[in-house]
Amino acid sequence: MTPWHTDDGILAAYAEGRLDRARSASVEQHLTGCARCRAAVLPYADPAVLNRAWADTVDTLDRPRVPLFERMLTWLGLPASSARLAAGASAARRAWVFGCAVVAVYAVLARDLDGRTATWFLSVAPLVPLTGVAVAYGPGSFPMHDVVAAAPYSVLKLVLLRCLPVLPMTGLVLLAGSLIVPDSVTAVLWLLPGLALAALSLAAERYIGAGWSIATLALLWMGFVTGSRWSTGSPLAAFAPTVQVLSFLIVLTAAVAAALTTRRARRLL
Amino acid sequence: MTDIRLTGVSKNYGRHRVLDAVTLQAGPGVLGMLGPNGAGKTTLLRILATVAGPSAGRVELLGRDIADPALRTEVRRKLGYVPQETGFPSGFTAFEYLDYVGILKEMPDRRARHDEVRRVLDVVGLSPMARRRIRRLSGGMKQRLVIAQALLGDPRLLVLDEPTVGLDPEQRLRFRDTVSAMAENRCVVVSTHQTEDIVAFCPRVVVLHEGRALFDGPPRELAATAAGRVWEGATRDAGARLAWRTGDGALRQVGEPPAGAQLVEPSLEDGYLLLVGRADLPVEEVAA
Amino acid sequence: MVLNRSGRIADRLSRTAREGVIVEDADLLTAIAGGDRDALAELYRRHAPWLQIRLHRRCADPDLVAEALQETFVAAWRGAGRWRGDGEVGGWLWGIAVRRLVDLIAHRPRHRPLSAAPDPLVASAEEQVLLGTEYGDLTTALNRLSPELHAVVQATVLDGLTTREAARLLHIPQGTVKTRMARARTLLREALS
Repeated sequence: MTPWHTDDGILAAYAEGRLDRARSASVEQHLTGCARCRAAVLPYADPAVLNRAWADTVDTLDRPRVPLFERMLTWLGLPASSARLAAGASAARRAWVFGCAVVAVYAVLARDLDGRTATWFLSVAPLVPLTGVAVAYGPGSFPMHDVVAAAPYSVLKLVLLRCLPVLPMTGLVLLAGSLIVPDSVTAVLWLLPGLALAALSLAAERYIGAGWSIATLALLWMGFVTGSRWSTGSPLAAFAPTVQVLSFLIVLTAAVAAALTTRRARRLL
Repeated sequence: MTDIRLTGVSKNYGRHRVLDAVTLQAGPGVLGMLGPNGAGKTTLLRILATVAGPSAGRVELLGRDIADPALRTEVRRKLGYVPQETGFPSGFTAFEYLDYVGILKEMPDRRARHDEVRRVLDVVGLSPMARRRIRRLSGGMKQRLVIAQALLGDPRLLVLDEPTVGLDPEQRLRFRDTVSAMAENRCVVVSTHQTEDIVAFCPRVVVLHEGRALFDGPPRELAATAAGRVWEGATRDAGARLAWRTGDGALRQVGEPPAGAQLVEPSLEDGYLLLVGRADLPVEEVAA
Repeated sequence: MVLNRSGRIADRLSRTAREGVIVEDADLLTAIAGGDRDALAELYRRHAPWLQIRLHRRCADPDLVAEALQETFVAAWRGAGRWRGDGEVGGWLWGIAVRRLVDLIAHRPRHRPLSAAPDPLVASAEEQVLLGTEYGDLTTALNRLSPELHAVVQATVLDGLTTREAARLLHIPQGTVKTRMARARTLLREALS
C-alpha cells in the first residue's frame, strides 16, 4: 500500500467519471492495493449490477455438477432440462455402462473362429436394452413414483428420456457385434428381440414393478434361447425369422400405443 | 372459488371398499383430516393429488374435472403433494433433487428454477444442506425436503399426507407457521394422526372412518360432541366406551361415569375417540 | 445483497467488528480454497464494488460487466488455491476480471466497448485548486493523448493486457495496437523532453 492516499473528493470524482485520465489511472492503481479507499468507493458502485452478479455467482457455484452424458445430450441438441431428466442420478447407470462395456470388450477380445463366442454374444446382447431399462427404473434410481405422478410432466416423455442412455450402449454393442460376427446380417439379429424385451419390460413394469419384470423377462429369454437350441439343434434358432417378425410387431405395437396415448392427451388440451 | 369439490366419491380395491360416497367441498384455508389407519385418508389424499382415480363419483379440483386427462395436467401444474412415503433417487444432493422435481413441474428455465429451489430450501430451513447428499440427511431433514418439493412452483392446492412425521416439536411449529401463512389464499388439505396439529392450525376438520366422513366442522364442535361424557377418576367403569390413564395418573374415560369420577372438559381427542371409538381399544398412556 | 453469515470466517469477521482484528484478503483466499463460502461473500463485498466501477469505465454495458464480475468470482472460488501470495489480491482479481471482460467482448462482435467516462482532457483550473493537486508534464501529456491512443495505453500499460488481449478488447488488429503504442510512446517521450 502506498503512503499516498486519495482523498474522498478525488475518489468521488473518479467513481462518477469526472476525473481526468491520468489521475484516474493513478486512482485505479492505488485501489488495487488499498482497502480503505476501496471501501470509500463502495457507495458509488451500481447495486443492481452487484446484486445480480452475486446471485449469478451463487447460482453457478450451486449448480448441480453436470455429468458427461448430460453434456453430450445437450451438445446433440436436446434441451437442457430434458437432458437433466435423461441423465438423472448417474451412480447406478455408471455401473451398468461399465458392465455393458466389459461385455462388449470381452466379446471382441475373445472372438474365435468357430462361432461359439458369436452365439454366446448374440444370446446375451438382447439383455443390454433390457437391463438398461432396469437401471432407469430400478429401486435405487426411481423410487419417487407418487411425486412424479402428481407432477404435470408427461410420464411417457419421462420414460423415454430415462431410457435414452440405452441407445449409446446399444450402439456400442452393435459395433462390437459387427467385429465379432463376420456376417453383417447375423450381427444384428439380436437387436429386434432386445428392443422387444425392453418394450415388454416397460409395459410390465406398471403392473408387477421393474425388478420382477426385468428378472422374469431375462429368465424367459435365456430359457427360450436354450430351449430352442436343444429342440432344433441349431445355435441360432432363437433368432429365426419368426422371432424377428414377432419382435418387430411387439415394438411396433408399443410405439403405436405410446403415440396414441400422447395424442389423446394432447387433443383435449 | 371452490378449490375442491368431491361428489359421491367412492374407491374400491377389489372387493374392499375404501371410500364410500364421500362428498366434500373446500376453499382457501386449512382442512384437517383425521381418522384411524385404514379409514381411507391416504386414498382420499391420493385422489386429491390426482395420483389415483375414483371408482365412482366426481372429483373437481380448482374448478376442473380431473376425469379429463388434459384438465388433470392443468391441475397438476398448480398442485403440491407430500405423499405418505416416498423415496429419493440415489446419489442426488438436496438441491439436485429439488431441481429435478422442478423440471417435472415444468420449469424449464434454469435460472428461474434455481431461484425457486433456493426459495423453498429457505422456507423449510434447509439452505445450509443444499449441497449435501440426501442419504446423509437425517429423517427430519428428508421430511422437510419432501415438503419443500411440494412448495415448488407456488401451488394453489397443497395435499399433505402426514407431513409432520419425523419432525421435532420446533420444526413442527415452524411447519404450522408456514402452512398457516400459505393457507390464507390457498387450499391446504392435511391428514394427520396428531390431534394437536388439528387444534393448532386447522379451522376445519373432517373425520374419516371406514371410508365415510363422520364429521365435518370446526374442531371445537368435535370436542363439544363429547361434552358431558368425559370423566376422570381413580377407577375404571365397566361400561366405559374408552379408558386410558393420563400423564397425571388419573383414569380418563368416555361413557358412563364411574364411581367417584369428576366430569371434565372434553378435548378434541375425546370427541374424536368417541366418534370412532371402538371398545376393543386398550387402555393407553396418554398425556392429559 | 443477501450474504449468509455462518462458519469460521464469519466468526473472525465478527471479531473484527468487536476487537478491531483485521482479516486479510490473503486469509480470505486461504479460506476460500478450503471451501468457505462466507469468505467468498466477504471477498465479494470488499472487491466487487471497485471492480465494477473500473470495469464500467472500460465497458458501458451493465450486463457484460455483471457477467464479467460473476465469472471473476467463480474463477476466484475455483482458483483460490492457486494464488501464490505474490502481490495484492486486488491486483490478482483485476487481472482475472479484465481478461474475463476481454473474452466476453470478443465473443460479442457487434458490441462496441464504450468508455463510460466523458473523458475530460484537462481538469479546470478551479478543480485543480479544489483538489489541491498540480499537473506535471506526464500527466498533461497523458491527458492530451487522443482517445484511441489512450485506450491502447490503458489496456497494455495500466491493465496489464498483452498485445493480443488489448486487440480483442478494443476490436482492432494486433498490428494497430503496436503502432498506436509506438506512437503514444513517441508522443510521451516528446512531451517529457
